[in-house]
Amino acid sequence: MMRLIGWRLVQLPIVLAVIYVVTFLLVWVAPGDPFSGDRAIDPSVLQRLKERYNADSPAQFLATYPWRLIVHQDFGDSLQYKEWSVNDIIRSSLPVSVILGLFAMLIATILGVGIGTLAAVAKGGWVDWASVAISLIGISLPSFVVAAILLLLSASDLFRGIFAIGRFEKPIDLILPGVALSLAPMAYIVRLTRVSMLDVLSSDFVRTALAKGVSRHRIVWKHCLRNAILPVLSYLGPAAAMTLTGSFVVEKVFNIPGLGQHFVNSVLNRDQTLIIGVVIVYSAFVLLFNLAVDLLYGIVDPRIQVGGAK
Amino acid sequence: MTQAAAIAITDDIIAPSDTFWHRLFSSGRLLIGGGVVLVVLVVCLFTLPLTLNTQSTFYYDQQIGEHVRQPPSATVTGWFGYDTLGRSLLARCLLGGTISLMIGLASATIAVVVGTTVGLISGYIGGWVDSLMMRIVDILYGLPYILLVILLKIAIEPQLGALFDAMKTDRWFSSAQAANLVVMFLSIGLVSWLTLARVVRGQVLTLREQPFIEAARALGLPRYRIFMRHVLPNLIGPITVYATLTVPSAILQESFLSFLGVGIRLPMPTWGSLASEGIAALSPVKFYWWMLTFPCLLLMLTLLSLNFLGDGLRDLLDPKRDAAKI
Amino acid sequence: MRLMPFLILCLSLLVASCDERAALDPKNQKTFRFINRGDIFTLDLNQMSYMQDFRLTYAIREGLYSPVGKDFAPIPAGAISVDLSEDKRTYTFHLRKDARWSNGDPVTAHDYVFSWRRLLEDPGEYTYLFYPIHNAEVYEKSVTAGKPIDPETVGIQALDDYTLRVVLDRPVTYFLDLVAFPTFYPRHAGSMKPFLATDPKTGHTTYDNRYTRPPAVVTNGPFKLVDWRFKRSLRLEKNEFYWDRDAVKVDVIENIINDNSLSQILQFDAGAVDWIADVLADISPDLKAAGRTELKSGTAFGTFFLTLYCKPSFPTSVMNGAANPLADVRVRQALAMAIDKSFITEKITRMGEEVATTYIPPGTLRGYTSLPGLAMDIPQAKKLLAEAGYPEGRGFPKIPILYNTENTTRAKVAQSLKQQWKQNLGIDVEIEGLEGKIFRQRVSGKEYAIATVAWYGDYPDVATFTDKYLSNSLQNDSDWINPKYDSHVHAASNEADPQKRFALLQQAEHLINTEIPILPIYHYVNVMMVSDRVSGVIQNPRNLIDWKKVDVEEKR
Repeated sequence: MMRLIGWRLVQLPIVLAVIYVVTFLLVWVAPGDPFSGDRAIDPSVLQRLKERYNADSPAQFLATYPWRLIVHQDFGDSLQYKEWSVNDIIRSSLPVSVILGLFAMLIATILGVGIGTLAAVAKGGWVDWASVAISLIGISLPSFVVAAILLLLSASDLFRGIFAIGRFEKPIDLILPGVALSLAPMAYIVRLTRVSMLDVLSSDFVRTALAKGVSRHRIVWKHCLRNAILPVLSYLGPAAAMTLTGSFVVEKVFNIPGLGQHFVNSVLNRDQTLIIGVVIVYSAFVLLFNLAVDLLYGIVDPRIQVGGAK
Repeated sequence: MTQAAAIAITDDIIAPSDTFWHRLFSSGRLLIGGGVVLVVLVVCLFTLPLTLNTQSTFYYDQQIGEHVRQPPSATVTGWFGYDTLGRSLLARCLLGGTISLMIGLASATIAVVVGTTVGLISGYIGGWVDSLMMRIVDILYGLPYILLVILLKIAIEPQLGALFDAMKTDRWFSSAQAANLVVMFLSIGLVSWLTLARVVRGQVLTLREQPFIEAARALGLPRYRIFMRHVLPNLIGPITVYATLTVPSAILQESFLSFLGVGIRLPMPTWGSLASEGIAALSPVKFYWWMLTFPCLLLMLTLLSLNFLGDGLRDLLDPKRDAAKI
Repeated sequence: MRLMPFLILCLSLLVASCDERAALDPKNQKTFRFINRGDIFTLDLNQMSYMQDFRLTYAIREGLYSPVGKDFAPIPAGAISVDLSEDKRTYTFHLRKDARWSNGDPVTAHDYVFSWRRLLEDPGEYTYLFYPIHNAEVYEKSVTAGKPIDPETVGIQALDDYTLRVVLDRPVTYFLDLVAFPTFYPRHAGSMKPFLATDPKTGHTTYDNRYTRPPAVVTNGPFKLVDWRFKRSLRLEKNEFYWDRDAVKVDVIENIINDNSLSQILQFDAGAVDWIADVLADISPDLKAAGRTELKSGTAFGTFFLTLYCKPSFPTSVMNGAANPLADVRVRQALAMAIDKSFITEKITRMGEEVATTYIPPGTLRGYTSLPGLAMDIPQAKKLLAEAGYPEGRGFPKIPILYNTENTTRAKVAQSLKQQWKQNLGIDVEIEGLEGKIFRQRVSGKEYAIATVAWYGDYPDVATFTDKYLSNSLQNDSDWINPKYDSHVHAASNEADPQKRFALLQQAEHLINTEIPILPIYHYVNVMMVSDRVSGVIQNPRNLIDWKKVDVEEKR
């Protein structure tokens, strides 16, 4: 096990390095200039700007960037937000995204597992149908529609004065964006729980327990759930990483200053340093989450050997 | 145990043929989901001669000044109301459905082919091949997706356009529009396969350690034979299910790209882009409800059905579906 | 339960992540909250080019003149008076002795010299505004080349602490308008010193833009920047050292950053903001139709038009370098005359925009009127098109019309144009939506056939429009070359008499309006939402604001 973790930890920086190089190449071949605005700029002025932001010599950037990042933990200056470094931007937006993402995952997990279990127990009945249908609505509509409807709801008379609109002041303001963000992972978790619960319910120990007269309630919520929740756990890793950056639309609609918007906007603005910065941060998250999931697989089901550690 | 016996046991696990048809027809999810998708698809496809015909009143880009922003009315073209340029929303929804489903199906096909291949190879061969392939998947996960889409568009759209021009295919769509559609298929397909590859790999890993595979291996069956006869058939179920589920997520992915402005080429409609036009017309003072409601309803109905279809298929194809009745 | 510690952790993180500062305004302070056009890009005068950045700069900085007089004409601010020489080329500004920086230092002529030279030493988008100043362009180029000439030879000199002399190469009738523009505002060298850096490769000196962030930033306007929270808000407080502090009405200005049109209006309706400076086009027509009295709109200093590529053949990246039908002036005129522009303003934009036949928005420049351009005339358009060799549109190549997908209105206009040209002229165009950066690259790189673009004037003079289409202008996206146009504009720039100058420019503009290197569609309107509790916020073409006059009535 230790060897496995060690091996994967060795791979981690290599993968990150490859992601860095590939992203760098994509960023530099992409047409469009980070400094272009609505009107053309004099070529000599443009050249000065590029020199100033070290955007004039890609080769030099490629070589010096990792050194600067590793030694000084410096992601460089943003080319779009001239007063802010990429470090500033990540420092100011990552906590917001992490909180929002955690909150969304919490809602998704609790509701998802609950609904999924109910659906499995009532398989084929109307409860099954209804609960699955409700959970699926979240992934049957574009997120911008769901988020906009929730935003309008938050401003309606129903919630007058409860939520600060367009701002992020009190913890309560997180509720609706959190709900909007939780719908997609929730739909998955409902499904995963339902299926694995069905599996567990068909296993021998349930029959034995039933035969021994253990109450149904106890069998489902105590014995089965513990087994059925395993696949859900393994989904939480990638889902958490997804919520972290998949929040672009929710952030845009609710005007939340998180990291998700930079994922898209930095690309649209060709903010080269910011693109590379958020990609590295995000990739590190994804890789760590995936590593955790793979390890979890191994712990949960010792029969599975994870690749490379034979 | 003889070789024949081992195979007989696994065959039994794969296809319990005695109850298959019975299950198919008793699965409400499957029938309703599949039925709705079929009806929507048929209606959209059969109205294509109308919606793509420039002379018809149902032409999808027929702008009429008096109809701008008119709510639903009794005339057939006005059933769903008209959009901000006075075009029949019904016509646009019908064509939009075709295009959305086309994008969903084509992207899912790409995703299934690539994802399954990678997942199978990775999971079955294992070792360093697995490691390498999964790291490649990790890398692709990490890259900025929107940038990839933009680059893909720039790199191949003009060339494809020129190709379609040379092939003189611009009967219904112009060659530039056709090229744009192909780029959409590719750019959505190329992200969807990543998850599928991981899922398939996971399935193979689990399957590889199952007793019947071990038995087959112990019997000295050649690797490819074990793969073809025992592993692959057991994977068809999960792959089918995920393929069905990839279609709705691809359709949603397109709506996201349209929302960002890197999606479908106007004036071609998709449900996603119609919904995003509907959202742009949303305000607290005036609600052009028909512009948002109809595309969203159709989108929801179809995606729900596709998801139900996927779930139903899973219930049908899952070897261990016999839950105790509690 | 094992979930409990996790829940507690989440909740405490939640509380920690939210900011208490936002709600902290003491009751006795008068606060004005507004939503600016979008994100603040930079507050550095060298690189500033966006409306929202300028708008905030008017609050925190002040120049020799301020554009806050009647009809937003420039009036003395940092200066008390100016002496203009006989040849109209030497301006001697006498500075106000009681002007102070926000740290208490006096504002001197040297601060102006420092700031203006910075624009030349580290040029940005608006450095060209300095080019009429003697030797300014020479100095800029020499610094860039690494062999700077003596900066004293540039026509910007501090005669003493409170006298600034500016020498121009030619009479510039609108020079006082220029010095009222933020690019010409002074800067406090002392506070910027820690941010000075020299590029070891090129030897160029630059100031890190962080000098504009509090607490380092020192400004001389009615307000000072005290807090800037990225992507959230900026907080300005009254500058207690400002010379005219008694005239300043509010204590605090909060610039809230919100890019979402729906969320903006909900915030306004909830009473959380007093002013939405620019209401987005998605939502404004419905607000207007609903009769919202807080909505104010009026003609803007900008025009929406199509730019048409005028060279005889396309570059190879467009239609494989085929011959360009738009090179024929008759084709361009036909395209212009075949559009029902009122359909666009009445059905798509719906904000009472004036249909444009001219390049310059009428009534926005005092003393200047444009000659009318081409009106809609479909039979004549068909005739012109036939004369150009495309009767009934036959044989007309399927040229692309580009639009920027960041702008939903332009997508609609492009679709409408496609239909109108098809219907009225029988020609088919291809609509191509491009992501913003690529769109700009294609247009300024002149790799297009037709594109939907716009132009807003920078300073209140005809030249801000007409200079764009000089044959050697960087901004001449159409590649339209007309020696007669050039000679009119050049003659005007050396003309000291305003009447004669306008007459020359009118002739020049008329060439644009009739030869159609650009096809004007409509003149923009500015739209804002201002609460009834607010006074001093006045709708005007150039979107200027006199921050001193802004006042907000207490909430009942």
